[in-house]
Amino acid sequence: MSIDRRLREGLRASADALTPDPLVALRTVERKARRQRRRILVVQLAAAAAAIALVMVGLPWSVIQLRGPVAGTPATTPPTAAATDSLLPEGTYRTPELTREQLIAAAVKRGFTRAQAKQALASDRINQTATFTLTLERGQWTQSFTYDGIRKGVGFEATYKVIDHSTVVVTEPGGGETVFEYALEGDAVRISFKNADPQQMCQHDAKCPMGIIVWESAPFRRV
Amino acid sequence: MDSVDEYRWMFAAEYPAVVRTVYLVLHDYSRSEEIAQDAFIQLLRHWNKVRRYEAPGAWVRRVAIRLATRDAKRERRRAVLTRETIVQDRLEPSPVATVDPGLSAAIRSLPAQQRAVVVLFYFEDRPMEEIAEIAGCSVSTGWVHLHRARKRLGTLLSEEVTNDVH
Repeated sequence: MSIDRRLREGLRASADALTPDPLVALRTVERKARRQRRRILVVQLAAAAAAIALVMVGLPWSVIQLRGPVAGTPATTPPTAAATDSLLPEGTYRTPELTREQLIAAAVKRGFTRAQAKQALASDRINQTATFTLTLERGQWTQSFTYDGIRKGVGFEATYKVIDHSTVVVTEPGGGETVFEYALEGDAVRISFKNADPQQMCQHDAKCPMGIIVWESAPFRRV
Repeated sequence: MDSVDEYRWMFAAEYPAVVRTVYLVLHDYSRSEEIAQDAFIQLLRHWNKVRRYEAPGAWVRRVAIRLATRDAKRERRRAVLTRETIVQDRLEPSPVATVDPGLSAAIRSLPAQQRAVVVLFYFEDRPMEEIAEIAGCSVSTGWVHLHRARKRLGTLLSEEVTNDVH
Protein backbone atom coordinates (compact mmCIF):
# COMPACT_ATOMS: atom_id res chain seq x y z
CA MET A 1 0.00 0.00 0.00
CA SER A 2 1.31 3.49 -0.71
CA ILE A 3 1.88 5.85 2.20
CA ASP A 4 -0.68 8.27 0.71
CA ARG A 5 -3.45 5.67 0.71
CA ARG A 6 -2.56 4.46 4.21
CA LEU A 7 -2.72 8.05 5.48
CA ARG A 8 -6.02 8.87 3.81
CA GLU A 9 -7.71 5.67 4.94
CA GLY A 10 -6.12 5.59 8.39
CA LEU A 11 -6.92 9.21 9.21
CA ARG A 12 -10.48 8.86 7.92
CA ALA A 13 -11.05 5.69 9.98
CA SER A 14 -9.63 7.33 13.13
CA ALA A 15 -11.81 10.40 12.64
CA ASP A 16 -14.94 8.36 11.98
CA ALA A 17 -14.46 6.49 15.25
CA LEU A 18 -14.87 9.72 17.24
CA THR A 19 -18.33 10.83 18.31
CA PRO A 20 -18.01 14.19 20.08
CA ASP A 21 -21.22 15.41 21.73
CA PRO A 22 -21.89 19.00 20.60
CA LEU A 23 -24.70 19.56 23.12
CA VAL A 24 -22.55 18.92 26.18
CA ALA A 25 -19.68 20.86 24.62
CA LEU A 26 -21.91 23.85 23.81
CA ARG A 27 -22.93 24.15 27.45
CA THR A 28 -19.27 24.03 28.51
CA VAL A 29 -18.26 26.63 25.93
CA GLU A 30 -21.05 29.02 26.90
CA ARG A 31 -20.19 28.64 30.58
CA LYS A 32 -16.48 29.26 30.00
CA ALA A 33 -17.23 32.24 27.76
CA ARG A 34 -19.48 33.79 30.42
CA ARG A 35 -16.76 33.34 33.02
CA GLN A 36 -14.20 34.96 30.72
CA ARG A 37 -16.50 37.89 29.99
CA ARG A 38 -17.11 38.45 33.69
CA ARG A 39 -13.39 38.30 34.41
CA ILE A 40 -12.71 40.89 31.71
CA LEU A 41 -15.50 43.11 33.02
CA VAL A 42 -14.18 42.87 36.57
CA VAL A 43 -10.66 43.72 35.46
CA GLN A 44 -11.96 46.74 33.56
CA LEU A 45 -14.00 47.85 36.54
CA ALA A 46 -11.10 47.34 38.91
CA ALA A 47 -8.83 49.32 36.60
CA ALA A 48 -11.35 52.15 36.44
CA ALA A 49 -11.79 52.09 40.22
CA ALA A 50 -8.02 52.06 40.72
CA ALA A 51 -7.62 55.01 38.38
CA ILE A 52 -10.31 56.95 40.20
CA ALA A 53 -8.82 56.04 43.57
CA LEU A 54 -5.41 57.15 42.37
CA VAL A 55 -6.76 60.49 41.28
CA MET A 56 -8.85 61.01 44.41
CA VAL A 57 -6.38 59.76 46.99
CA GLY A 58 -2.97 59.72 45.36
CA LEU A 59 -2.83 63.25 44.07
CA PRO A 60 -3.87 65.11 47.24
CA TRP A 61 -1.49 62.84 49.17
CA SER A 62 1.35 63.80 46.81
CA VAL A 63 0.50 67.46 47.22
CA ILE A 64 0.61 67.10 51.02
CA GLN A 65 3.95 65.34 50.75
CA LEU A 66 5.35 68.07 48.55
CA ARG A 67 4.10 70.87 50.78
CA GLY A 68 5.22 69.21 54.00
CA PRO A 69 3.18 69.16 57.19
CA VAL A 70 1.16 72.25 57.96
CA ALA A 71 1.49 73.55 61.48
CA GLY A 72 -1.42 72.53 63.66
CA THR A 73 -2.69 69.96 61.13
CA PRO A 74 -2.90 66.45 62.55
CA ALA A 75 -0.91 63.81 60.68
CA THR A 76 -2.89 61.83 58.12
CA THR A 77 -3.61 58.29 59.25
CA PRO A 78 -4.63 55.34 57.14
CA PRO A 79 -8.30 54.42 57.33
CA THR A 80 -9.01 52.01 60.15
CA ALA A 81 -11.44 49.13 60.30
CA ALA A 82 -13.75 51.34 62.32
CA ALA A 83 -13.59 54.01 59.63
CA THR A 84 -14.47 51.47 56.97
CA ASP A 85 -17.29 50.19 59.13
CA SER A 86 -18.66 53.69 59.43
CA LEU A 87 -18.83 53.91 55.64
CA LEU A 88 -20.95 50.77 55.36
CA PRO A 89 -21.93 49.60 58.86
CA GLU A 90 -21.94 45.89 59.58
CA GLY A 91 -25.26 44.27 60.36
CA THR A 92 -28.21 42.55 58.76
CA TYR A 93 -30.20 44.31 56.08
CA ARG A 94 -33.40 43.05 54.48
CA THR A 95 -35.69 44.08 51.65
CA PRO A 96 -39.45 44.14 52.17
CA GLU A 97 -41.35 41.16 50.84
CA LEU A 98 -41.33 41.91 47.12
CA THR A 99 -44.05 40.82 44.75
CA ARG A 100 -43.35 39.09 41.49
CA GLU A 101 -44.31 42.30 39.62
CA GLN A 102 -41.80 44.36 41.63
CA LEU A 103 -39.05 41.85 40.83
CA ILE A 104 -39.89 41.89 37.14
CA ALA A 105 -39.99 45.70 37.16
CA ALA A 106 -36.42 45.86 38.55
CA ALA A 107 -35.12 43.74 35.67
CA VAL A 108 -37.15 45.67 33.08
CA LYS A 109 -35.77 48.94 34.47
CA ARG A 110 -32.26 47.67 33.62
CA GLY A 111 -33.23 46.87 30.03
CA PHE A 112 -34.31 43.25 30.20
CA THR A 113 -37.57 42.16 28.61
CA ARG A 114 -40.42 40.87 30.75
CA ALA A 115 -39.88 37.46 29.19
CA GLN A 116 -36.23 37.44 30.28
CA ALA A 117 -37.20 38.53 33.79
CA LYS A 118 -39.88 35.85 34.02
CA GLN A 119 -37.44 33.22 32.79
CA ALA A 120 -34.95 34.26 35.50
CA LEU A 121 -37.64 34.03 38.18
CA ALA A 122 -38.71 30.64 36.85
CA SER A 123 -35.12 29.38 37.06
CA ASP A 124 -35.18 30.17 40.80
CA ARG A 125 -38.78 28.88 41.10
CA ILE A 126 -40.12 32.17 42.46
CA ASN A 127 -43.90 32.07 42.06
CA GLN A 128 -45.19 34.96 44.16
CA THR A 129 -42.81 36.80 46.48
CA ALA A 130 -39.19 37.10 47.46
CA THR A 131 -37.37 38.69 50.37
CA PHE A 132 -33.62 39.23 50.15
CA THR A 133 -31.29 39.59 53.13
CA LEU A 134 -27.74 40.91 53.21
CA THR A 135 -25.55 40.21 56.22
CA LEU A 136 -22.27 42.07 56.64
CA GLU A 137 -20.13 40.67 59.38
CA ARG A 138 -16.37 40.68 59.88
CA GLY A 139 -15.61 41.16 56.21
CA GLN A 140 -18.11 38.50 55.15
CA TRP A 141 -20.85 39.41 52.65
CA THR A 142 -23.75 36.94 52.74
CA GLN A 143 -26.89 37.27 50.68
CA SER A 144 -29.77 34.98 51.55
CA PHE A 145 -33.37 34.75 50.44
CA THR A 146 -36.88 33.61 51.28
CA TYR A 147 -38.98 32.69 48.27
CA ASP A 148 -42.79 32.54 48.43
CA GLY A 149 -42.52 32.86 52.21
CA ILE A 150 -41.39 29.26 52.58
CA ARG A 151 -38.21 28.40 50.74
CA LYS A 152 -35.06 29.78 52.34
CA GLY A 153 -31.46 29.60 51.29
CA VAL A 154 -28.15 31.35 50.82
CA GLY A 155 -27.62 32.87 47.41
CA PHE A 156 -24.18 34.41 47.56
CA GLU A 157 -21.29 34.25 50.01
CA ALA A 158 -18.15 36.28 49.59
CA THR A 159 -15.74 38.63 51.30
CA TYR A 160 -16.03 42.37 50.79
CA LYS A 161 -13.98 45.50 50.99
CA VAL A 162 -15.40 48.99 51.23
CA ILE A 163 -13.44 51.18 48.86
CA ASP A 164 -15.06 54.53 49.57
CA HIS A 165 -18.37 56.13 50.49
CA SER A 166 -20.07 54.61 47.44
CA THR A 167 -18.03 51.64 46.25
CA VAL A 168 -17.68 48.16 47.65
CA VAL A 169 -15.80 45.28 46.03
CA VAL A 170 -17.11 41.80 46.72
CA THR A 171 -14.80 38.84 46.10
CA GLU A 172 -16.16 35.34 45.66
CA PRO A 173 -14.22 32.33 46.98
CA GLY A 174 -13.17 31.50 43.41
CA GLY A 175 -11.59 34.96 43.07
CA GLY A 176 -14.31 36.57 40.92
CA GLU A 177 -14.87 40.18 41.88
CA THR A 178 -18.00 42.28 41.59
CA VAL A 179 -17.98 46.01 42.10
CA PHE A 180 -21.15 47.40 43.66
CA GLU A 181 -22.25 50.95 44.20
CA TYR A 182 -23.99 51.54 47.50
CA ALA A 183 -25.83 54.45 49.03
CA LEU A 184 -26.91 54.77 52.63
CA GLU A 185 -30.43 56.14 53.03
CA GLY A 186 -31.14 56.43 56.75
CA ASP A 187 -31.02 52.89 58.08
CA ALA A 188 -31.26 51.37 54.62
CA VAL A 189 -28.68 50.68 51.98
CA ARG A 190 -29.36 50.77 48.28
CA ILE A 191 -27.11 48.53 46.16
CA SER A 192 -26.50 48.37 42.42
CA PHE A 193 -23.85 47.10 40.01
CA LYS A 194 -21.28 49.80 39.37
CA ASN A 195 -20.58 50.81 35.78
CA ALA A 196 -21.95 47.51 34.54
CA ASP A 197 -24.02 46.98 31.45
CA PRO A 198 -26.40 44.24 32.62
CA GLN A 199 -27.36 43.31 29.06
CA GLN A 200 -23.73 42.71 28.18
CA MET A 201 -23.04 40.98 31.47
CA CYS A 202 -25.97 38.59 31.04
CA GLN A 203 -25.56 37.71 27.39
CA HIS A 204 -26.85 34.17 26.77
CA ASP A 205 -27.40 33.53 30.48
CA ALA A 206 -31.06 33.08 31.27
CA LYS A 207 -30.52 33.06 35.03
CA CYS A 208 -28.24 36.07 35.17
CA PRO A 209 -30.97 38.78 35.44
CA MET A 210 -31.57 37.37 38.94
CA GLY A 211 -28.40 39.21 39.97
CA ILE A 212 -30.03 42.51 39.05
CA ILE A 213 -33.31 41.45 40.65
CA VAL A 214 -31.66 40.52 43.96
CA TRP A 215 -29.69 43.72 44.39
CA GLU A 216 -31.71 46.34 42.59
CA SER A 217 -35.37 45.51 43.35
CA ALA A 218 -35.47 47.48 46.60
CA PRO A 219 -33.24 48.99 49.29
CA PHE A 220 -32.11 46.70 52.11
CA ARG A 221 -33.31 48.03 55.46
CA ARG A 222 -31.33 47.33 58.64
CA VAL A 223 -33.01 44.84 60.99
CA MET B 1 -32.73 33.21 13.34
CA ASP B 2 -31.05 35.48 15.86
CA SER B 3 -27.33 35.72 16.47
CA VAL B 4 -27.32 33.29 19.41
CA ASP B 5 -29.29 30.65 17.54
CA GLU B 6 -27.02 31.07 14.54
CA TYR B 7 -23.99 30.47 16.73
CA ARG B 8 -25.54 27.38 18.30
CA TRP B 9 -26.49 26.04 14.92
CA MET B 10 -22.94 26.60 13.69
CA PHE B 11 -21.56 24.96 16.79
CA ALA B 12 -23.67 21.83 16.35
CA ALA B 13 -22.67 21.61 12.70
CA GLU B 14 -18.94 22.25 13.04
CA TYR B 15 -17.86 21.10 16.49
CA PRO B 16 -17.52 17.35 15.77
CA ALA B 17 -15.46 18.01 12.65
CA VAL B 18 -13.16 20.42 14.48
CA VAL B 19 -12.60 17.92 17.32
CA ARG B 20 -11.76 15.22 14.77
CA THR B 21 -9.21 17.37 12.95
CA VAL B 22 -7.55 18.48 16.19
CA TYR B 23 -7.53 14.90 17.44
CA LEU B 24 -5.65 13.76 14.35
CA VAL B 25 -2.95 16.33 15.12
CA LEU B 26 -2.70 15.66 18.87
CA HIS B 27 -3.93 12.08 19.32
CA ASP B 28 -5.21 13.04 22.76
CA TYR B 29 -9.00 13.05 22.86
CA SER B 30 -9.72 15.13 25.96
CA ARG B 31 -7.07 17.70 25.00
CA SER B 32 -8.59 17.87 21.52
CA GLU B 33 -12.01 18.64 22.99
CA GLU B 34 -10.51 21.36 25.19
CA ILE B 35 -8.73 22.96 22.26
CA ALA B 36 -11.81 22.79 20.04
CA GLN B 37 -13.81 24.42 22.84
CA ASP B 38 -11.20 27.17 23.24
CA ALA B 39 -11.46 27.85 19.51
CA PHE B 40 -15.25 28.09 19.76
CA ILE B 41 -14.95 30.46 22.72
CA GLN B 42 -12.83 32.71 20.51
CA LEU B 43 -15.47 32.36 17.81
CA LEU B 44 -18.17 33.38 20.28
CA ARG B 45 -16.14 36.43 21.30
CA HIS B 46 -15.81 37.52 17.66
CA TRP B 47 -19.17 36.17 16.53
CA ASN B 48 -20.70 39.50 15.51
CA LYS B 49 -17.87 39.98 13.03
CA VAL B 50 -17.20 36.38 11.95
CA ARG B 51 -20.87 35.51 11.34
CA ARG B 52 -20.78 37.87 8.37
CA TYR B 53 -17.90 35.92 6.76
CA GLU B 54 -18.62 33.60 3.90
CA ALA B 55 -17.39 30.54 5.85
CA PRO B 56 -17.32 31.07 9.62
CA GLY B 57 -16.55 27.35 9.97
CA ALA B 58 -13.22 27.82 8.22
CA TRP B 59 -12.34 30.58 10.68
CA VAL B 60 -12.88 28.42 13.75
CA ARG B 61 -11.08 25.48 12.16
CA ARG B 62 -8.08 27.70 11.44
CA VAL B 63 -7.99 28.89 15.05
CA ALA B 64 -8.29 25.31 16.32
CA ILE B 65 -5.47 24.02 14.12
CA ARG B 66 -3.21 26.86 15.24
CA LEU B 67 -3.98 26.16 18.89
CA ALA B 68 -3.38 22.44 18.32
CA THR B 69 -0.06 23.04 16.59
CA ARG B 70 1.04 25.31 19.41
CA ASP B 71 -0.02 22.69 21.94
CA ALA B 72 1.83 19.93 20.09
CA LYS B 73 4.99 22.07 19.98
CA ARG B 74 4.73 22.71 23.71
CA GLU B 75 4.25 19.03 24.38
CA ARG B 76 7.29 18.17 22.30
CA ARG B 77 9.42 20.82 24.05
CA ARG B 78 8.28 19.53 27.40
CA ALA B 79 9.18 15.98 26.38
CA VAL B 80 12.63 17.10 25.30
CA LEU B 81 13.22 19.08 28.50
CA THR B 82 12.18 16.19 30.71
CA ARG B 83 14.01 13.70 28.49
CA GLU B 84 10.88 11.75 27.86
CA THR B 85 9.67 10.39 24.61
CA ILE B 86 6.08 11.35 23.83
CA VAL B 87 4.58 9.21 26.51
CA GLN B 88 1.67 7.02 25.63
CA ASP B 89 0.47 6.64 29.21
CA ARG B 90 0.11 10.41 29.63
CA LEU B 91 -2.46 10.46 26.88
CA GLU B 92 -6.09 9.90 27.74
CA PRO B 93 -7.42 6.52 26.72
CA SER B 94 -8.86 7.21 23.32
CA PRO B 95 -11.93 5.80 21.67
CA VAL B 96 -9.92 5.33 18.48
CA ALA B 97 -6.80 3.80 19.99
CA THR B 98 -7.38 0.55 18.20
CA VAL B 99 -8.15 1.86 14.72
CA ASP B 100 -4.56 2.06 13.48
CA PRO B 101 -2.18 2.32 16.44
CA GLY B 102 0.88 2.10 14.19
CA LEU B 103 -0.22 5.08 12.14
CA SER B 104 -1.14 7.07 15.28
CA ALA B 105 2.27 6.44 16.83
CA ALA B 106 4.07 7.33 13.61
CA ILE B 107 2.17 10.60 13.20
CA ARG B 108 2.80 11.49 16.84
CA SER B 109 6.52 11.17 16.25
CA LEU B 110 6.41 13.97 13.64
CA PRO B 111 7.13 17.60 14.51
CA ALA B 112 3.98 19.64 15.16
CA GLN B 113 3.93 21.52 11.87
CA GLN B 114 4.42 18.37 9.84
CA ARG B 115 1.53 16.74 11.71
CA ALA B 116 -0.75 19.67 10.96
CA VAL B 117 0.25 19.70 7.28
CA VAL B 118 -0.35 15.95 6.96
CA VAL B 119 -3.80 16.19 8.56
CA LEU B 120 -4.85 19.19 6.52
CA PHE B 121 -3.62 17.62 3.31
CA TYR B 122 -4.79 14.02 3.67
CA PHE B 123 -7.81 14.40 5.94
CA GLU B 124 -9.19 17.80 5.06
CA ASP B 125 -8.08 17.74 1.42
CA ARG B 126 -7.04 21.35 1.49
CA PRO B 127 -4.87 22.90 -1.23
CA MET B 128 -1.30 23.70 -0.16
CA GLU B 129 -1.93 27.48 -0.43
CA GLU B 130 -4.56 27.21 2.26
CA ILE B 131 -2.50 24.80 4.36
CA ALA B 132 0.44 27.20 4.29
CA GLU B 133 -1.79 30.05 5.38
CA ILE B 134 -3.16 28.06 8.32
CA ALA B 135 0.24 26.68 9.31
CA GLY B 136 1.82 30.12 9.05
CA CYS B 137 4.50 29.19 6.52
CA SER B 138 5.18 29.70 2.83
CA VAL B 139 3.73 27.33 0.24
CA SER B 140 7.15 25.89 -0.59
CA THR B 141 7.85 25.28 3.11
CA GLY B 142 4.45 23.57 3.31
CA TRP B 143 5.50 21.17 0.53
CA VAL B 144 8.82 20.53 2.29
CA HIS B 145 6.96 19.64 5.49
CA LEU B 146 4.71 17.26 3.58
CA HIS B 147 7.55 15.51 1.76
CA ARG B 148 9.60 15.07 4.92
CA ALA B 149 6.56 13.76 6.78
CA ARG B 150 5.76 11.27 4.00
CA LYS B 151 9.34 10.07 3.90
CA ARG B 152 9.50 9.54 7.64
CA LEU B 153 6.08 7.91 7.84
CA GLY B 154 6.95 5.64 4.92
CA THR B 155 10.05 4.46 6.77
CA LEU B 156 8.28 4.01 10.10
CA LEU B 157 5.32 2.18 8.59
CA SER B 158 7.27 0.33 5.90
CA GLU B 159 5.01 1.70 3.20
CA GLU B 160 5.86 2.68 -0.33
CA VAL B 161 6.68 6.36 -0.85
CA THR B 162 6.37 7.50 -4.45
CA ASN B 163 7.73 10.78 -5.73
CA ASP B 164 4.28 12.14 -6.53
CA VAL B 165 1.87 13.04 -3.80
CA HIS B 166 -1.55 11.46 -4.34
